[in-house]
Amino acid sequence: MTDTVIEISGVSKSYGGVVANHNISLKVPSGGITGLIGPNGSGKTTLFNSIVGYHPIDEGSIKFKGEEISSYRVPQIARLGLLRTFQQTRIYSNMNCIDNMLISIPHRKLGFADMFKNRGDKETMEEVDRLLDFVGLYEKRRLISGDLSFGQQKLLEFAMALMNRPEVLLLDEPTAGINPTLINGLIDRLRRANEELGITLFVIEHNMRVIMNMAQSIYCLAHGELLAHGTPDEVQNDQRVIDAYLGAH
Amino acid sequence: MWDNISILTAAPVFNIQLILDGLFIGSTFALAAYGLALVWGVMNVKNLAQGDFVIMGGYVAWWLGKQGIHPLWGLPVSIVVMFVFGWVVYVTIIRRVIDKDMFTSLLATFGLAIVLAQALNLMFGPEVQTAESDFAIRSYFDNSVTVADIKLVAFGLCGVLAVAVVLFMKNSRMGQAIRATAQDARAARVMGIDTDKVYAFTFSLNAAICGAAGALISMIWVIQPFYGIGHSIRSFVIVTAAGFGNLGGVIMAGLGLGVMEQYGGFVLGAEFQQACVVGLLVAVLIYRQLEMRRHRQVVQ
Repeated sequence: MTDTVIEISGVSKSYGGVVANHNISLKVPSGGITGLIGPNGSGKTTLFNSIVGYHPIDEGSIKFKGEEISSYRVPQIARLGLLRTFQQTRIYSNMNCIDNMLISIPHRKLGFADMFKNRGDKETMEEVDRLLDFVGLYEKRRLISGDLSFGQQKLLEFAMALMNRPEVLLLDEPTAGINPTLINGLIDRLRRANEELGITLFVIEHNMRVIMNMAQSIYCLAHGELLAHGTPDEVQNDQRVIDAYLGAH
Repeated sequence: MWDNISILTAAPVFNIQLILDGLFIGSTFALAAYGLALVWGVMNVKNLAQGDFVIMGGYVAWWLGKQGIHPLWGLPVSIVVMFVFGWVVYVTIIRRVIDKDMFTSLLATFGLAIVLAQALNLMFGPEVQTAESDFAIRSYFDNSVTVADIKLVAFGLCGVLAVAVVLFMKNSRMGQAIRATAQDARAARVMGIDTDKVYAFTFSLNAAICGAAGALISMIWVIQPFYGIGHSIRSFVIVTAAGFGNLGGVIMAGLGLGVMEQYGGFVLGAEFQQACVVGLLVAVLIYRQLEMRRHRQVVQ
């Protein structure tokens, strides 16, 4: 719990003249659930994109399990066990749920042997069924994923991420656009993934009730800078955080 | 022209010959077009050197035939040679243009097509060639219809190769990675799929498919260093008509194009055979444009 799995030091990222992240430093402890909050445009998603290698950072350092990853490409980082999900689900909408899951098998470097290797053996198919059952989509496993509701697509995306057996999962607004009934189920599954599968979660969330109940520690960004850090109680009582959300910062 | 049409009506058995020849050659067109659909759909690269890959594959089989090896052995050799060649082309050229705008990849592959045609011309000369298979030719309807056994073999092999490619795409890990990348490359990368490697495999697979089509064409038809552009246009017609990821449509369009070319060549004369293909491309593009306009109006 005390080991740091992601360590970000002095990370800055600008788009032209717009500073998206400025000198951000934070640590994500291994095995826990860490929250990342902040008003719209505060740089949360930019930071996630920097961590998973979508764009180069201007300065600073990003370490995963002590290894500098800021110069790595996206698939390299994913193969280390650091995955992310998106605000808008990115599933393969023309394929059924099973095919979506099979695509998410951990990909080592593709080689010539993969031209002849079967996409899923018996063990893999059992894992697919187990994880689809875990997120409550087993009955819909043969449906084309584009026909699922938005909430179910989010659950499928979560199951796909689990299929990849990540060590750390970056979740970008997992409850956005999901009806309240499904939200409770999703939170329960996120907790179980953390506790039972030992996956470290780093979560961007706008739903304060969700993140305050789920996370052990929370970072708050505003205007691209780190504003506050602490336990949920400390953060939600921090006057700077309140001001940022009310627009007084 | 009317004389030729009257021959077809007076002696309907000639229609059987034209249809059979069209189907046999059309199956190889469909094979090459499927490769183009793959590269176009997955990588968004419109490969203008597609036909030159086909011709190159044909020369591999023809050259082996000249060395005393039966040209049918040229099929697997051509597949392997063209796969490796496709990989080299991807690493040296395609990788640099894949994220650029459409005209960059069009120009790059057009340049490649010119270089390949000239290189084949320098190596093998400008003569029209056929790889002799020495298979029997059967006659039907009082010798009015002839079918060479090699054409039947080539037709069957086209079918086998098409099924193999479909099974590969559906069941192998690489095929799955290719399909995932085609649908959402960004999401595929996040899942750890090396899309650069997937693109390299896809382009190489396309080149291998072209090599197979070319080897078969060299045995049932003719090859010449500058015939590549014709095969490129045929592939574009078929893919534009059938759409991506529609193997059934590609097969039907390929066979249909083969038959139409045979009829066009017979009715209008052999010199109009290419014009028929280009004319069909224009017709398909106009139809697609009208279809898109109609869909837009429905949305409004």
